Amino acid sequence: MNELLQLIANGLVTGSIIAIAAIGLSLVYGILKIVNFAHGEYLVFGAYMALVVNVTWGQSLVLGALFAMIMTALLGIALEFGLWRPIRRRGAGIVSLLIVSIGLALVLRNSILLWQGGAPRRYDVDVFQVYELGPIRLSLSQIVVIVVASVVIVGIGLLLARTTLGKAMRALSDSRDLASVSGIDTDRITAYTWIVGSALAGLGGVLQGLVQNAFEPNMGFRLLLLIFAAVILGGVGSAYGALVGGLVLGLMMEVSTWSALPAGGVDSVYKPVVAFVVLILVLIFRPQGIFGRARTV
Amino acid sequence: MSVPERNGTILELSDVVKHFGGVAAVAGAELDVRRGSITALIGPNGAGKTTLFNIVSGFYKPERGVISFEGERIDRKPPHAIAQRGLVRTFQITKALTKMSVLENMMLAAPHQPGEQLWRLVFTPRSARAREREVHEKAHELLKLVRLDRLAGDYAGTLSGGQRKLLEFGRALMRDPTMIMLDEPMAGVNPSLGLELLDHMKRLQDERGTTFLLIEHDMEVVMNVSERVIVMNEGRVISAGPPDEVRRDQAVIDAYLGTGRGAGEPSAPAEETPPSEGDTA
Amino acid sequence: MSGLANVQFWAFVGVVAGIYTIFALGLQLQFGFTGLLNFGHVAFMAIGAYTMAILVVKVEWPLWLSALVAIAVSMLFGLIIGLPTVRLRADYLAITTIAFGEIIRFIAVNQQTLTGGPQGTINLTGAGRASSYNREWLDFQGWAQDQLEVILGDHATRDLTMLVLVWIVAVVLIVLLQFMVHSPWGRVLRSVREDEDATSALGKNVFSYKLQALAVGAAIGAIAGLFFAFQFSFFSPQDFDPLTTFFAYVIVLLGGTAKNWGVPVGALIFAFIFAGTRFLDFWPLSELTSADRAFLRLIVVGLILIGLMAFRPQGIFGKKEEMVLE
Ligand SMILES: Nc1ncnc2c1ncn2[C@@H]1O[C@H](COP(=O)(O)OP(=O)(O)OP(=O)(O)O)[C@@H](O)[C@H]1O
Ligand SMILES: [Mg+2]
Repeated sequence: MNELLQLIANGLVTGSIIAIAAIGLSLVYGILKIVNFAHGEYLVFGAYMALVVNVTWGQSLVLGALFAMIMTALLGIALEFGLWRPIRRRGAGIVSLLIVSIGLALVLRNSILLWQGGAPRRYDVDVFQVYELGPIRLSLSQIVVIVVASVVIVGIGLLLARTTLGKAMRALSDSRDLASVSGIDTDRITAYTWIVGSALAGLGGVLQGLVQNAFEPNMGFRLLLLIFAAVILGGVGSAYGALVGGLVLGLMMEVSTWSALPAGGVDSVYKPVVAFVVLILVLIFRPQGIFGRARTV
Repeated sequence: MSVPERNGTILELSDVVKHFGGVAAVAGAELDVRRGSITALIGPNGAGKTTLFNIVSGFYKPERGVISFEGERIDRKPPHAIAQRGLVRTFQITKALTKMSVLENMMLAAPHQPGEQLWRLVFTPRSARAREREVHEKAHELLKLVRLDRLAGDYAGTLSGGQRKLLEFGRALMRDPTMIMLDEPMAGVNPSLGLELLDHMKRLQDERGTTFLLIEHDMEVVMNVSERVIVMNEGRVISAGPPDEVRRDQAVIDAYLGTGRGAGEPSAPAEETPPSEGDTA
Repeated sequence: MSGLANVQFWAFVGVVAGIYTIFALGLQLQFGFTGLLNFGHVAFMAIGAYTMAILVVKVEWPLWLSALVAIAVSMLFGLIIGLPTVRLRADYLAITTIAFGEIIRFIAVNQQTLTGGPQGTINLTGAGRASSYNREWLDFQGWAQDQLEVILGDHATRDLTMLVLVWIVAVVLIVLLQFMVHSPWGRVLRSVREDEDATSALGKNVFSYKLQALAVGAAIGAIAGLFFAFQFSFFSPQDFDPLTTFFAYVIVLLGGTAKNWGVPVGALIFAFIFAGTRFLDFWPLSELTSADRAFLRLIVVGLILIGLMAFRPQGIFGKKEEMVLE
């Protein structure tokens, strides 16, 4: 039983990072029909931005995380204006945009490699401290992740539910045409979506870099399919869905290794495979996501 | 070739239902089409005619109801299987294969091409080639009929709207179908060519006993060509019978005069009714 | 060493281009002709290479039989992954297939006893005993080299022989595919790419044709895997990460979708960017380490992808007009 509690705690840590990173991907997928394979690189970009502040400039990681969010938001908005919007204006379809995003992923990842090299890096913080909360052992970094993630998740929930911007974003991802007819300035909301989604991706990158202790530029691509799985689990275009999808996926991956399961659970090296299989099954049987309503149109 | 039997029902629908969200696009339609007939399916815009075609041709699964073609149920069959049985449809919004040539569009439609199976392509290439020659010839004939022969080598994507309608029509004929469902085949086609196509339909009806079910808004065409008219409104069949009878049917007049969704139908029979004796024979 | 004049080196570049040509031809059939956005193509290469190596080393089957079985197994996997997925929308198909490819790679990494694990086929028979799965191939290649010497004399080296063999297969496959896509069978594939509804309304079983395209493409991918295994005596799961699939997309898009003869040209350009740029030694490139150059090359590849989609979606050989038809 203690093992299960520990797995659930671990699952929440993994899940909340995926959830934070998944929001931006899901909104952009829903609103702009961009299946952004470069989204993982946004995380990496954030992680390295925080590294610059924290290690190169010797400042605190909190400052680093804020800087990472701002810079990744800037990256997101710059790419919207410099890349995505011009290409959309040329009438590119979903397949062309997807291929562009792969090109972008290669450019971003290898630019970071060129700049910082491929060696694993770590933040200048003490993460070895382990706390025991009853039967559960959590490292400081894991606790930080859970706390930060809870705050962010509640904040995003409020943003989406309460603010005009949030409502407009959700309306837009429901139907771009309908939203533009009903007087929403789609270009402006699109820009804000990139800002929010990218900032969250940047934060997700910092948190992931923190919990996995050492990271390198390929971290993003390894997370990407997990993030996609969360997006699809929650229903493409739904920000709430992405949050829940991320948490569910994190829990599923960890709990699948529980030794009390038949055959002693899944070997922990196959945790990502659990996510991939979930991803494939959801797309086959419930492409609108486990929480989404079936749409006829 | 002996003229096939002209009696009996070839297509029969009972209690067919299909919703989109809250809208009942087809709400318990019942109808039958006689073998070897030319039947018109009319009704105001949004009556559910195209949806009905989509259901019969297997593109939508009906929520309820039975559809049988030549005595066999087809309501759970996929579109290609229905087409292979000899029931072919065209699309109201044309679906030209734009990056293929007009000729290729036609040749693709042909049935019984052994070369479409990989193993026969490899092991019996000759029969594939022989069939390809037949298909090629037939495609040219039909392209002449629909006046697209000079454009045979062009990309179908360069055709005009009316030309695409003609291509749809020609492609459907390539399959040598027992029954064809045409969704507004004359829309955008110049009237004199339209008349020639109607003549051709009658010829196929006479010579081969081909059955036609066509959706058409032009009442002149409907009254001229069809032996039977089926009227839909709001997802139901509200009237069926010979053209003269149907045009006098009060339910039909009401439907077109537009308490329903089809208000303002321009070429409605209502303009020609109330019953003035026969401008159509 | 004067690299530019080094025949051995260029033969190597040519071999790589040949293997990528074969690999991308499978994708050309699936994506270029049938419109299937398969992002797990690399899995078929992996399955081809691994199945062959495992059968030769562990089951001790003869090479040629193992190679044939490897191709068949790859086709089978194509059917298995295709059966539930080819009906999906393009973007969903892309995501499911990339996940499928990653599952295959994970298995290759983690099923150590079967595959040799992360170190690759060098571990196939267990630690300490290097396992040779390509002895028979080397014999064959030696024989082919002897034949070549009759024509080329001393120039007929091992690399040059490989070059000739790979390209013979590549050209045969191109000719074969060219015949297939212009046959009635290929006509149906092209029509599936254009409009699935129109195709099925004309009595063609779209689902079945998509599966066939996927399976035939998988077989071709497996052939590329075989040559990959022959060329690089040992390989590891790392060789089959999703990047390799992306490279195939670069090649197909460079040459033009639905243009079989565009594939070798795309592959040659790609191989040149990848291997041939080692000679570009002038400043500021001369400042870079070889690792940095590798990153720079990938940046260039990424920019090519973006540029192609933005400015020349029809590729080098495609017709501009085709892109605007609706
Ligand atoms: N795919 C769909 N999704 C949602 N609603 C649909 C869909 N197809 C049809 N409908 C609705 O079903 C109803 C019937 O449409 P349908 O196209 O069958 O009409 P129709 O009789 O062919 O009209 P027209 O003469 O204008 O072609 C309409 O209210 C339409 O809005
Ligand atoms: Mg209609």
